Order: sequence, then structure tokens, then C-alpha cells
Amino acid sequence: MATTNGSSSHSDIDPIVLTSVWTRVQAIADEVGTSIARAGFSTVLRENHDFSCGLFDENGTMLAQSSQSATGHIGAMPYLARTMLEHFPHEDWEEGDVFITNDPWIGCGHSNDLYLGTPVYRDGSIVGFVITSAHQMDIGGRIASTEAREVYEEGILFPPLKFYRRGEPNHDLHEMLRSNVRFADQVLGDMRAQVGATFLGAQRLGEVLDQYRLASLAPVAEAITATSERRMREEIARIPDGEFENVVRIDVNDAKGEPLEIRVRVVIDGDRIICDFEGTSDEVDKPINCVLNYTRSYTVLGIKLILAPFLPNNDGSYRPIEIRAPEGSILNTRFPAACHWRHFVGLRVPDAIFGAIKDAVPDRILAGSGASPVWLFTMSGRRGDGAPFLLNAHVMGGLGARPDVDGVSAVTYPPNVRDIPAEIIETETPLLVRHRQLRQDSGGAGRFRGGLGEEFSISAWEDGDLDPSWPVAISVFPGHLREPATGVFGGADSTLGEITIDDVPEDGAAGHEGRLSLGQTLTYRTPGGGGYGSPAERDPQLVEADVRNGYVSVAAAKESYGYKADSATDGAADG
Amino acid sequence: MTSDGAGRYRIGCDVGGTFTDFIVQDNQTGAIHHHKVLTTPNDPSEAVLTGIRELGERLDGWDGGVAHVVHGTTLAVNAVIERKGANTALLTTTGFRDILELRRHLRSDVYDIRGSHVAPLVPRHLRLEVTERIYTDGRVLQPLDEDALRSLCRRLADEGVTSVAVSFLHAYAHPQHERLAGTIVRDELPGVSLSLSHEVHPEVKEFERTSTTVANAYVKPIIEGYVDRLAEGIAPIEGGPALVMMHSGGGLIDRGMARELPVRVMESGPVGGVLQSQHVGARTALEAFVAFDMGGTTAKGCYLADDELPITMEFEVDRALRFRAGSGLPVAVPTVDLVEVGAGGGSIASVLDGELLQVGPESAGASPGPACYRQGGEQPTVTDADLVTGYLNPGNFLGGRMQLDVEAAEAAIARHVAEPLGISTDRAAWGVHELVNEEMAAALRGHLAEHGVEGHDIALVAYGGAGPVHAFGVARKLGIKRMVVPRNAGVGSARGFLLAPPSYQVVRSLRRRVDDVETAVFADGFDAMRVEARAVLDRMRDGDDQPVDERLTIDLSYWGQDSGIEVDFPVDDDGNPVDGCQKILHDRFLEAYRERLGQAYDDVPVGVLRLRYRAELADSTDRSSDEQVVAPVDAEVVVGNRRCPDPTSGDHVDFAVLVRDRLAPGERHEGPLIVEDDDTTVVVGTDAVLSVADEGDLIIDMAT
Repeated sequence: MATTNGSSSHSDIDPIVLTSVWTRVQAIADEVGTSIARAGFSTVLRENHDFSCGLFDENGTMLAQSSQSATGHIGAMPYLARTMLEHFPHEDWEEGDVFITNDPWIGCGHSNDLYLGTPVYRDGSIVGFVITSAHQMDIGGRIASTEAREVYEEGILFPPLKFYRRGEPNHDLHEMLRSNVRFADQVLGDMRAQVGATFLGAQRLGEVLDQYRLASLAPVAEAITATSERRMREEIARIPDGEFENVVRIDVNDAKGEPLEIRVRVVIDGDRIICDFEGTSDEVDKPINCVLNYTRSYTVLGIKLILAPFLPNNDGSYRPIEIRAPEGSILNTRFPAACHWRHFVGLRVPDAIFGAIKDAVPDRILAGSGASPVWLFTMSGRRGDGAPFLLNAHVMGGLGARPDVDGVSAVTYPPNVRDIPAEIIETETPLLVRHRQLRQDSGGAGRFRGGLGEEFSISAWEDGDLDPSWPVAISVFPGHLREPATGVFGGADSTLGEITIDDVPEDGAAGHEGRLSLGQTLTYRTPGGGGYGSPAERDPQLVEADVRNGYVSVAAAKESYGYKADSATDGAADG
Repeated sequence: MTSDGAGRYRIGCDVGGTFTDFIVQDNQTGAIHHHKVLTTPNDPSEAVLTGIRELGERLDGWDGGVAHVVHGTTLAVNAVIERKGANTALLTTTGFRDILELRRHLRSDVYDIRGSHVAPLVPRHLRLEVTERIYTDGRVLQPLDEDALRSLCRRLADEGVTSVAVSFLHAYAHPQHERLAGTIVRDELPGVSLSLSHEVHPEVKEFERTSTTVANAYVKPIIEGYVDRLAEGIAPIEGGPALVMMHSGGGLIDRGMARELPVRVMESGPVGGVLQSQHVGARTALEAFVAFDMGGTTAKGCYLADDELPITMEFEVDRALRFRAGSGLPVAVPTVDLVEVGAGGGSIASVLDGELLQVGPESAGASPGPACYRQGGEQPTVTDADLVTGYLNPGNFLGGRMQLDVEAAEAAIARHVAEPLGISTDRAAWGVHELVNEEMAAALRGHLAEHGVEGHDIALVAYGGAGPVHAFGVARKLGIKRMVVPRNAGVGSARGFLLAPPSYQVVRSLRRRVDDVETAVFADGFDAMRVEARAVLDRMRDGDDQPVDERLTIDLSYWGQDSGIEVDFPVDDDGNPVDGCQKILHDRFLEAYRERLGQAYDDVPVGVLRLRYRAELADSTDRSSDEQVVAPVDAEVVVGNRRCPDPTSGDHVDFAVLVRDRLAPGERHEGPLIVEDDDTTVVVGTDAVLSVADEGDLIIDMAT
């Protein structure tokens, strides 16, 4: 009952009602998302929009998902309502109940993502569900440890339980949570805001049913999902059939000392796609393992990005995509493997897929992106008076080159997170930002060039307000320190990322942790993106502009493009 | 302004894409005159001056009688969009010239991997680094290398640069190096325009400040020339009327200020309509409402509460994705906070994949226009749907100046919507009306959600040519219970310009915990802002006795949060911060936070984000600009009836058709109704009552 036949007709739904209700449910999902972000205390919700809202019919079929959703949720949310219904079938619900879970294997892969859901009632029957997820600022355990081996170290776990009953908070659960998290008032406050937003969604869904005189959302859900499924199938059918393989190597080594690998075989078969990750490395004793839902998210994201970027997210959109990942691998990890930093592996999945199917869709893919994974770093220490400070920020690599244009430099991808300006860093911590600039020559050469990485340099400077006896702790999960972002169709690979302290290179491929003593300077140099097409085919005017603007040095331009320093002035440029 | 307060005429002038609109208010008779000339895109000042000259020929007592011309222009914003600004250079602190390109790391659409950032206004080879460094606390870590800067200037001269932006780290609080650099640039490059970041946008965050400063530099030479031409053009009018400019924050500044800070006037266009709505909201006693404007290509919404203009600092120009926040160039100046969507009378309806109705994003605009215009448009538009449903009277469009072709509209809808969907033409027309309403409601829903407001707690004021046609359906979708359609709701925004007071807002960063800031620091900050704002207003005075209304506010947040809540700063009778203000601020913040978000925490430090100082000249002239209430035409109000879909249910019902200028204050009519006005049509569905207010505004109350 939870699945529908993709080709079933929905002729019983008036086309006007269908499009209007579809527009409305999308607006409701977005309104719920805005409500979570607005009322949230934590920066992760307010600024980085690490939340999601899904609207479902009574059978657990997802009609709509908030368009601002964190990318990690897009493949996971569609499964949530059905999982919830397995734990609590219709007869176990009452109006005003709120379900809770942060089980990484039910949600999307780490315990900070907390899911809350509530049913929508009309005339005593359930007619739909609203589920929200939001990244909580703390969920207990060792905060974001890069050392965790088991999920127990990563915070308190809620199996599916009732967080509210008939609109009233479950006091026991609240108190249990309160004694397990830091900043309990703020965490509970954010959860209360999330509950409020979830109830708002339920009220809004009820209004839709009333206005359009609908007894159930199921026929609308069926029509929406069937339409989306058909559109996705049409997109898939447009690309040539075939079987395509690719391997992406990750900087971390397995127990045998070999680099971890994502292996993917993509089968395009008429109007469906199979992504099979057979052969992918086994799970590791580091917190970088991905649960299957997380792998689903980045698999469907990769396909969505190239085939149907603006197709709305619902249960139908991804039915034509079958995902197989071997149990016990880094892409389908088993309980209780640690998984907090799963993005380090999972964000590479789109690159793996693009690299596989590049020959089938050469005009749609990106070359490999130094931007993925995002380098999230933290710096913490003490001020002169002993007060602690903490900086959580990112540096970004370059986007891979596109079929018709260069990659974007130093940009967030695949997720969307904002930087922290140098002026804010210096105002809110005692650190000094030396510079933040584009990294010349870091993008792979090609007909279109990979976006550049950036160079970010920050000091525990002597004249700052730092406790001299307390070195600044630094940690980062970088990317592409050993394996470059790859070029395609003759485009060059990117340069590698680098970490230095006082200009001395550090080995941080498997996660870098260290100390910065007073006077020392830390520099991150992120990788650029890979190039697209042969550098020989690059428009000489673009080469000239790159040199003029310093994106590419004269020496590199000579080597990659046969650039002649005076070619612009004597008009003798030739490709 | 003139020192002669007896100026009879005030002119409002708004340059639109097709027409340049004028409104003239005659203070002697209370009459309002409208005028329109074709816009002259190459030099918009030509049309402005032509229109003013024509008005002078038409109206008595013009010489010596014109007090001032209130002008709004899109010239600056168009120069950015079309990249027709000055050859501009940027000087930055060493190590930070790439900030324009690094932006904030964000992509504007998470699912779009094909798009690129909108191109910076200054290419990298004209972004030069200056050896200098000041730390956040004001310490000079590296003195400014003056000799090196002088030689950079010579390089800029060789590059033919005509405008220079300077943006150094921490200059928002410590501008000494920017000032010194400014002196050197002026010295080395006489005649070149100069924009210093601490003057343009003295706020922390280097990307937003630099982007704003560069935008200012980029348009400055153009705006300088433009306002000078206008000023020269009106100078011959006897009495020397002043040229004043509408700014994006809803007030007026003198032309000198507009020349200096053209970024302040970039988004003045939509402000007129909002000001007019604010005025209507006040006279119809609305506490909170959304101003809803729907024209030919876009619809806009603006939430107003407590008679205050909502001001945002997050304005952007040249969005790569037109309506997508984050895809443009930040211009962080006080700007009226609007939401805009690409839905208008010209939006084209189509059917996707043989099954899904779509409205927009393509628009037929004014040319070729809707099918019913018979100007070559073949695609069905929202206006065609409004005609086929029967809401519009084909003989009453633009006051009867344009006859609409119902058959052409029906044919377009039949062919492109009804047949592909397998439904009747009537039903298809209703579907287009309904869907565009749903899309506009979605945009307003998002805007209201950002303000934490629910539809059923607010009203709606509808204007623009298509606004009153669609407002009822939109209001019902949002749960709004009262809507107001002002008189002349279909007329352009120049009218609102005449309602604007001279005003100026200054914003300044201060990022510290509120408990750590001494009262004297607040006082010094506000004093400096007061001096700056009052200097602007002093140039706009009618006389010395004109009082200034000022408002001191502060943006507070929990320490570490980046978006704040604005609260009133506690001041004494002289406008100075009171002792113990820190505790009061702390309490006010918690109260405001709890009120908006339902809960607050007293164990987290409260931080200051910025100070705001706003000053407004209490005006001696009457700016109400209400037309005299014209006596209703003595004729039958109800002129017939039409069978149309009810805007809520879509069921066909009989609508009484009324003529607006025959409605008298105090009259009440029960829906469903269609009220035909000169420039628009008001649709009122079932279960609603229309009443006419004293000033002639229509007030529509919905039963449920």
C-alpha cells in the first residue's frame, strides 16, 4: 500500500486542483522550513539551513519536501514516514502526538539530525503526516570527534518514541535529554521550535484539504508522484543505455593501508538507472561511514543535478533509481559504526557517478570538484584571561569545469554553507587572518578550466589576546591531499590540497589534528576543480584573460596552453 | 527645498520602462494632476524634462510655484545590470583583493551546478592590494605605504580608470587608512570619482561592505552627470525648484547626497507604491497588513505593521536568478523589504508534458502582450484568463482606452491550455487565474513566515493594474479576512513619492557583548551618526524651526547569532543613552525574542550587532496628498451582472457589476461583486461584504 504503480492513471484528479494543490504543498513545506530556521537558536539552523520538511499522505508517500532542504536529506526523507508507520501504525496514533528519532540508520546518518513527525487528522482519521528534521547543536557524546569508532560515542540515541502525546510533552523523555546534552535550554528550545513548525505544517495541510474539499491526500500524492516519476523516466530515457564504471579514491586508508575506494557501476536501462556500489571499501573504524539513507541522498542528488535539477523532490522523483550498496561497506555501514563525519565519504558519490556516466552525458556533467568534500575546520583555545574560544568554519575548493564554462572558484558544493568573514573571525576570536585569496594555478587546465581553490592563512599571533601556555587546537577533515579532483575528456587534474604550519607541510590526509603555538601560522590551500576537455582547445582569449587576471601564471599558461607572453599584443595568438 | 514654503506645486516623477509618470499636487486647490510621457532610455533625463515642460504649459502659476521635484530613478540599478557603469578599480588590504569573487562561498541554488556567480563589477586585474593593516581593535599592524599607493594610482591612470573604490579591513570602525588613501587618490587622480567603504557602508563583513562600495563607485559618475543635467534643466523655472531624490529606504535626500551615495537610491522604484499603501493602511486603521502589488510582469508584497516601513540591509542587484536571494551583488543600504515574484498580467500559461498547467516564468510583457491586446501575442496570459473568466470587461480596460479581444483570448487559452489538458476553455481560464493566485500566495506566505506572521492576523492592501483582480483569491488562500483597495489603485508609484518625508538612516556595526559596552561608547556612536544624518537633513530644510524626529535603535542577538532583532534604544529627553541602558537592552531583547519566537534564554550572553539612527524632518507642508473626495457620479451603481467563477471555489456564480466612481462613502454591497474602476477591476467573491470608506477606499471583509 505504500507504493504505487508508477504508470497508474490519475485521471480522477482535476488538473487544476492538482497543480494548485501541488503549488500549495510545496509552499507549505517551505513555510515550515522557514519557521524552523527563523525560530532556531543554533547557527546551523539559522544560517546554514541544515533542516528539512517532508509532507506525506496517510500511507507515507511523500508529496513535497522543503526546497531549502539540506542535501543530505533528499534521499532519506522519502523513507521516513513509512519507517514511522512500521513502528506506529495508524491505530497507535492520536491527534497531537509527535514522534521522535535520531537513529542514524533511520534518518540520514548522524545523530545530530533529529526527526520529529506528527499526523494530520480530519474527521477522526489520519489523512497525512508532517515530518521535520533539524541538525541539533548538541546531542551529547564527544562533540564531532574525529576519533570515534562507535556511534555510542556520538551522543544520545532516540529510537522511534513519542516525544509528545496528544499535544503534551513527554516529560520523561525531555528530562532524559536535558541531562545528556550541553546547552540543554537551547537544544530543547530548538526542538520546541521544530515541534511548533511541525504542528504548523499539520494545520496547513488540513487547510488545503478543506479548501479543495478533499477527503484524502492520497489521490493527490499519487498524481504528484506519478507525474514526477514519469518526468524522471523521460529524462533517463533521453540518455543512451549502457553500463558505466568508475572508481574514486579517498585520502583515508583502510586497515591494509590502501586508499578507500568508492566503486560504482551505473546501468542505464531504458527509463531506469541502477547505481551499484559493489566493490566499495569496507566500513572503517573512523567516523566517516555512511548509512544507506545518506548514500541514497547523494546518489539521487548526483543524478538529479545532471538530469532534472528542478524536478521537485517527492516520492516519485527517485523511483526510477535503484541503489545497491554492499552491507558493511563505507556506503552502507552497519550499527554501531561511527558516522558523524560521513560527509567526508558521502559527498564524493556525485563525483563518482559523474565520472562513470561522462560518456553517456558529456554535455551535462562536471569534472571532478576540489570543492567536495567541504573542508570543515575548527580552532579552539584560550584567551589571555583563560576564557575559551571556538571557531567553526570552512574553506572551499573549486568546482569542476563544466561542458561550456569554467568551474566556479572556492565555492560550497554539494551542500550550501556560508563562510565566516575575516572581520568576524578577528572580532570574535583572538586569531589573525593573514590572507584569504584565490589560489593561482590550482584549477585543472582544459578547454574549460577547473575553478580555483583558495588559500586561507590564519595565525596564533604573538600580539593577540591568547593564553601563551595553551596552544590553539586545530582540526580539519580536508580532501584531495593525496588524490586530485580529476579532469575529464583530456582536461587536467587539479592540484592537490595542502596544509602547512609556518610553511612546513603537514600530513593530514586522514584528518588533520594539531596544535598551533604562539606565533605560528596555519595555511590551508584547497584543491581546484578538474578541467574539461583538452587544454589545446581553450579559447586563446580565455587564456589571455586568465593570465591578465592572474588566475593562471604565465609559466603555467605556457606549459598547459602553449601561451606566448606577448601573444595578445602582436595578435599572433593561436590555439 | 525652497525657503519659500508657499510653493504651490509638488511634482512626483517616476521613470518606468515604458512611461515616465508624473503626479502634480496643487496645494492651493488640492487637485492632483497626472501626466505621462514616453521614457527616453538613452538619457532618461530628457523625458523627465520634457514632461515637466509640458506640465508647465498646462498648469497656471508654474513659474515661481513649483516647490520641488521628487524623483525616483532606476538608472543606477540599470547601469549595474547592463554593465554600463564606470571603468572602476578597487583598492584593498594586502591579501584580500579576491573578496569580491570569493563572496560568501554560497551558491544561490543548491541544485544548479551549471550556473556561475554574477560577474564582479571590477575585474581582478583592476583589484589592487595596498600595503596596510589595521586590526579589529584599531591597532595599526602595518602602516599604509603611501609611496606604493601613489605608484598604484599611476597604474590606474594608465588603465583609464574613472572611479575608485577603497575597502580596507576593519575600516567600518577604524577608517584612518581609508581616509589617507582617499587623500592620496584625490591628489594623484584628480577628477576621478572616489568611494570609501567606511562612508558608503560602515559595517563589519568585508564582502558585503566591499560589494556595496564597489557598486557605489561603479554608478557614481553616471548618477553625477544625470542629476546635474536634471538640476540644470529645472533651474530656469522661476523660484528655483529643488530636485530631491527618493531613496530605497522610503524617504527623500537632496541631490548632493544622491551624487555622493548613489547606492542609496538604487531601489527607489517600488517604494512609491509601498508608501502609498502605508498611507492607505493608516487612514483605514489597519494595524498590520501586506501591501500587494501586481502589474504586468511581476507581483510584489511588503509586510507593514504599526505604520512602520520594514527596512532590510540585505538588498541585492543583478540577481543571476532573477528572484533568488544570494544570486546578485549585495548592496547593503537601508532598503524597503519586499518580496517579488515573476507573476503578472503578462505571465504566459502553458501545459508541461501534456498534463501540468504552468503559469510563467515567461512573460509576454507589454510587447507582444497578451493575446487579447491583438498586438501579435499568441500565447495565453493571465490577463487573457482574467478576461475569459469574465472578471475583466473588454470595454473597460485602461479606462476604456484599449478594447480587449475576448475571442482572441479564448482561442489562445483553448489551444494552449484547454485542449492539451482536455478540459473546457472556461475551466482552463479559471485554472490559470487560480494557479497564479496560488503562486503569489506562496511568495507572500514565505515573506510572512520570515516575519513570523499568519495570514489570519493581518489585512491586505491591493494595488497595481492586476492587483485588485487577484487579491481576493490570494487573500483567501492566506486566511486574510480584510482587504482594502485604495482609490486610484491602478495608478503608478509616483504618487507615493509625494508622501515621502525627508529622512535619512545611518547604520554602524558594533560587535560586542552588550554588558561589555560602556554607556559612553553607545553615546559617542549615536552622536557621530546623528551628526552625519542631520547634516543630510539640514540641506532639505524648509526653515530653521522645522523639528527633527529621531529614532535610536539597536540590533541585538544572542552572542554568536548573526541575525538580530531591532529594539528601541533607551534614551533620555535629549536623546542620549541612559545610564544602565545595558540592563534595559538585555531585558528588551529577551522580551522581543520571546514575543517573536515563543521562548527566550536568560543564560546566554546578549550581543550587539549594529546601531541604527534614523531621522526624519517633521514636515511643514502637507504631504498627505489625499485627493479631495470626489462626489460620486449620480447614477445607478449596479450596471449589470456577469456569471464568473467564485475566486475561492471556482464555482460559477452571478456577480453584480458596479461602477466605482458611482460608489458613495458608507455604501455596503454583498459579494459576489465586480467593481470596475478606470485602471483596474476589483473582484469580490461570495461570503464577503464591501463597504466604502469616507476617503473612497473599498474595504472588503470576508465572513470566514
